[in-house]
Amino acid sequence: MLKTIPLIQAILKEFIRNWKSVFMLIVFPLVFISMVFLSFNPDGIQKIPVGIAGKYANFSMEDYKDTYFYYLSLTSFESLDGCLDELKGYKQYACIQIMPGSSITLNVYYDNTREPVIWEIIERIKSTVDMLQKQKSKQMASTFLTKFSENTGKIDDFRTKLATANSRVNSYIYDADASIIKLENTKDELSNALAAMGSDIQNLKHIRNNLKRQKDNLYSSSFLYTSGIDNSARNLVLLGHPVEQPYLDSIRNQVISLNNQMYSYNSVADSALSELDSRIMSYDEYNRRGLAYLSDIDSEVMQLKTVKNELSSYKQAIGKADDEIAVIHQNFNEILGLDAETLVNPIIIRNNPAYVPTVSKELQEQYLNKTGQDQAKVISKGINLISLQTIFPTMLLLITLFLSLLISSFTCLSTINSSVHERLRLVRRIFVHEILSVYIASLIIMAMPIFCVLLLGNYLFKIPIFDNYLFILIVLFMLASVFIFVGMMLAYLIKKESITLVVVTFILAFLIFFSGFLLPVERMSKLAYSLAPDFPVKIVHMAFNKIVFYGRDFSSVKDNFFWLSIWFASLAALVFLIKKIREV
Amino acid sequence: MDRLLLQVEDISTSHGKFKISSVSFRLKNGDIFGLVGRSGSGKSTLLKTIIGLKFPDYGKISVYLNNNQVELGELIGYSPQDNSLYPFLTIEENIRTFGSLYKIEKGIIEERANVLLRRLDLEKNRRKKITELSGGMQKRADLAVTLIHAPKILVLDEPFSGLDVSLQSFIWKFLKELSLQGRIIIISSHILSDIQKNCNEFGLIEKGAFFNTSQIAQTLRNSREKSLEFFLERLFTKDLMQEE
Repeated sequence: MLKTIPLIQAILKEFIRNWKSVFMLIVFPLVFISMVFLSFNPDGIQKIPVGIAGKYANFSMEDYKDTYFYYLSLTSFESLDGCLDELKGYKQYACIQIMPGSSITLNVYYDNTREPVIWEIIERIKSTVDMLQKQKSKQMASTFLTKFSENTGKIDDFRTKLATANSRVNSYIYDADASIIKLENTKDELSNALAAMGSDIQNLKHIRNNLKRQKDNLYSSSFLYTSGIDNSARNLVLLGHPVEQPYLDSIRNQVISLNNQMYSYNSVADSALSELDSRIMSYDEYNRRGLAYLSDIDSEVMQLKTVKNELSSYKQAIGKADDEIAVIHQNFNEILGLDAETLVNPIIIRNNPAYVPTVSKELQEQYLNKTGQDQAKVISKGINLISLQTIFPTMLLLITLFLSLLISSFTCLSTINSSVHERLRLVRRIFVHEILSVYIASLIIMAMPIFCVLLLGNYLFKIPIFDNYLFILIVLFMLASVFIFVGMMLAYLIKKESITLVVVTFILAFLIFFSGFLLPVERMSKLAYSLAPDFPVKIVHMAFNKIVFYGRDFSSVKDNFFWLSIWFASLAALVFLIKKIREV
Repeated sequence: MDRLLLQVEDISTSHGKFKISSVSFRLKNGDIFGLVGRSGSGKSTLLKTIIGLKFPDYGKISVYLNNNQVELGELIGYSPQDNSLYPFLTIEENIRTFGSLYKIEKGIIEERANVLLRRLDLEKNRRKKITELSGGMQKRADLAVTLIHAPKILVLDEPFSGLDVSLQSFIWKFLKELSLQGRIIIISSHILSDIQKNCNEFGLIEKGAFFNTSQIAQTLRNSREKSLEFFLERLFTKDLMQEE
């Protein structure tokens, strides 16, 4: 180090005392960096001129100019053509044509030659219109819910009526049941009585028949006997027994009288039997009628049962209707349980950024005090701050990359192309010291602008740089070292200032491209995508973000450090090798 | 005084298209070697080869100190054609820087710097940056830096270019003092009269060929010219006329 320190001192003094180098490599980058950083508008994009074509009584964008479309400078046009004419003259960024209808349509004609800012404007207009849409829908949903709530009460009344009807049908079913039982009991009693009556009639018929048979037998046998007596008497007459004739005549008369009497008795008996038959027939008729009544009762019972069944069906239908109404009621209650916001946005997407910056107390108070229409601006400002914070590492790394390459190649070229270099080469064992001195001097020269950038990051972008200063310094040291070696390597290899600077520019462009700053590495081809993450800038970018934004500990970035160390060692070795080969 | 011998044996060196071959000479304590040749003849290339900034294509350069061969290394003090100084450093900062690189103690650096600056009449300007100095002062400052590590062999490439006559004689006087201290001085110049007047050994490069003192003396004897200066002037002018 005894030889390195005077060399470093000499390089630094040479650098500092040369106003051209100080201006070109310190002042100019600092001014450039400051201008770049200060050019970021913390409020987002500037007011953008946008034209409005067409008028509609129910909707005017002018009404929302100060609240929602505050980022637009609105100009009204009579016709769309007039607006488009100005758009093509680069006076308007977009033309919004308002089309009335059942729902209002906004036709946005935008100047797509103004990429990428036009996409931000379109996105903002879309977000704002979405916000308006939601607000309108919310109002309508709120009205709907109020009316719906009022009508839901009627469902309750209907359910009460249904319950009354159900109760009545229940009562009817009970009455029908009671009537059926009564009728069935009556039918049973009547049936028993008719059965007993039928049995009696049968017995009576049997007795009558026996009686008739006995009467007929008695009559015919008596008549036979009287005929025999008469015949005998007549025969005796014929025999001529005159004494006995009167007797015989009397006998015969008596027989005739007896026959008459018997005939008379028979007639009476027949008449009595006829009366009995008539009575029996009458009983039969009663019995038959009773049976007919039984049938009627059965029929009635059947009818009653049918009525009862129908009533039961009605009851079931009422129950089912009640159940359905209950479900509807429950569903309605669920709808009533919803707020207007839920109804309008059944699916809500909330994008939650993983990185949420720590906001200072003063800043919080400053933002919390703002309400109402300022809210959108405050949110917008917060979002812008986060996006600026996330841009900062990219800017820092770009600046580090730019400065390390340029300063190292400049310092190295100044040394090797200086006439003093010949004198230096005569000093024994100066080889390593020359490399070390250029490397360390470049690091020292870089320190100031980088420190300024870090200050801007800490105070302007509110990034907690100083909370992680040790890590940030190590990471930046590694990155700067890697690119200082690249710059030195190119300087030793090419030697000529003009060509080296051209090559450095190309290398810068290449590194910027493969660091994902211009084109995201995710959009690169498969091979480039697999290689790009191993490039030093990308490695440092990831490590930086992990620690600064997510507060991860060192263990989470040790892989990044390992690969950075590999780059560091490889490039350092290359610098030594090229310097040796090129004899500089 | 240490006995010093610089021996250049048959070296060949080249730069781009041209080549210088068969360069041989020997120098000892107190010798002032004047190397002459037309512009672009390869004087600087030969000097760089002698001091070790360039490897010879062929041949050998040896240094003996008290009959022991030593490395050329820090015995050499070299002042290139253009000043070899840090332009934005002051004279004394340049001196200190190179003093430190040669690992000389601070006290000794200061002591030597004072002597050198006084001898070279730069004391008043010691805190001036090289860019603020005139051409003559720059050359003297360069000489002071060249001498800070007290080299035993001093190699000066065109030290007088752009200097006025008084300054040239001042430097010659200073160089003679150094040679008297036993240093070997190798100097390239196109001011032939001074070379002839102040050097005791010579070297001529002409069309890639090197002629040492004895070869030049032999040529002079064979020619009608009695002075080296006139001989060389005639040689160079003749060629120029032929070219025209």
